[in-house]
Amino acid sequence: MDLLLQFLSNTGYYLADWRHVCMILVGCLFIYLAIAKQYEPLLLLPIGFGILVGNVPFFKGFGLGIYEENSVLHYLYFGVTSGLYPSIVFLGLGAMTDFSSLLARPKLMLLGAAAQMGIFFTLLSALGLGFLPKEAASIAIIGGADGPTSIFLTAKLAPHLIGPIAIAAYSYMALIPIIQPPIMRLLTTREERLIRMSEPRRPSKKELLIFPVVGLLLCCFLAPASIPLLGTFFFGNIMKESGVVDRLAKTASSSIIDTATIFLGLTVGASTQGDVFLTGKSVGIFFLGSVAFSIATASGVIFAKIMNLFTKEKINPLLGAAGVSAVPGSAREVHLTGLKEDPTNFLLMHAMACNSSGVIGSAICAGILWSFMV
Amino acid sequence: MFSFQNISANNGWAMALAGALIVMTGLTVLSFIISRLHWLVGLMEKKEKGSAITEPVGIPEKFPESLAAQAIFYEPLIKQLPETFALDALYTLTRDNDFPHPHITIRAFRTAGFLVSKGEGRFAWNATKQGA
Repeated sequence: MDLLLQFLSNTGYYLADWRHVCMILVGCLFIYLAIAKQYEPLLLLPIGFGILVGNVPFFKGFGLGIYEENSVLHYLYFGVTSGLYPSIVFLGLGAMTDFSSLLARPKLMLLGAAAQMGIFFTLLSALGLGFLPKEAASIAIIGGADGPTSIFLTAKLAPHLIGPIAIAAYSYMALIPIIQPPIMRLLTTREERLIRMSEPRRPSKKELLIFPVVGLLLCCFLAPASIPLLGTFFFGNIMKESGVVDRLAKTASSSIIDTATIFLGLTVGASTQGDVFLTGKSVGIFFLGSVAFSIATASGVIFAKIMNLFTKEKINPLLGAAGVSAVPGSAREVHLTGLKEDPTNFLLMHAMACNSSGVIGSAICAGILWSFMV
Repeated sequence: MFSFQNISANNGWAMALAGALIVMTGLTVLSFIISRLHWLVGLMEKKEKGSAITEPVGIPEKFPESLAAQAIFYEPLIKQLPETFALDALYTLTRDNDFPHPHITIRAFRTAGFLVSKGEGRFAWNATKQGA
């Protein structure tokens, strides 16, 4: 009888409290959104399931939890805390990115820079709300709308906040179809949304080959702390564009990035143990994350409108919203918003140019913030 | 509670301003450099004469509306491609030859059966359809 009682007292049913139940519900919501609504399923499904895994109550000291040394989850989580997974994800991302439209219309890169203003606005807000500088910098990077970059910087500056920051970043990325369109419509007139972009020229092979080299050198000389992200990103891209290592480029853009995404999502989800995750700080992070994302979207759109005041060839200001680096979600949303106004106005390729510029911009911002904090 | 003093005490204003300026400057310089890349590449190549890979195809001022008539203008381009090809190769050719709305037309060709899928993202031109 004692043995049975002892066993029962070690089960999850006995050890569970409201925090576990709450997080399990969040995990189920993520899984539902991924499968039923297909909101960023590649991210939300592993994270949602990871939340379930991380919130099964267990007897502390068995070496089971993600925060317990020698546990399997702890070893897998090393890829997050060391910044390894984000770096690998960037390698795959580079191998998938086509910079043709950006090279054809380089001024769209400025929209990627403008959308990073959300990061610095949020830095001020987080500092104002009493977060420590390293925590504030980690929260601010959510405004870059780049999950791997957010995780990378947080792992370096405020590892105790990885769970809430990663969940906030990925949640808002998944909620792009809900967050961005109202902001885009609010800040633009119908005439602006109808602006057609002219067909871009096709860059030569040499341009596509030179760009990753120039991009790497220029960006990493400016912010050397972004080397782990941009180094692999541009390496992935030159593998793709060179055409001489197709096998490597294909592996980087499929098996390697998929493997990293699986473990990144699962372990980030598992790191949200109720007792660690459900704190006042997490609420603040979610609030600031939404501010960061909204400001980033708005600043991109407003900057595009400002550019239109000075340039002969007008830019559709919706493209500014794709300056956040949520690839390809925000580009798709810009495209769909444009199509709603004019079903023959295809903005996707132009939006992808802003999107890829946003990836570079947010990685530079991560490097800048990291170097400010050391 | 929100406090501006917290921002000042942690050097927040300077960090935000400097950060925003650095990223803006960095991407502006990169944007300027890549805007000059094609010029630089052109200089390096010294305008290699006769290096055109594709023959230009003449198109009328008013492009026909019917799909079958449009197919007549697409056929010479398709002959420049291998037997099976990716749609982006066809798209590039049409764009380089200033065909109007290639995206929409290629999609219409697919729907109407002019372009037949051969698997793994490759397509072939269905010449019999044109005669139909």
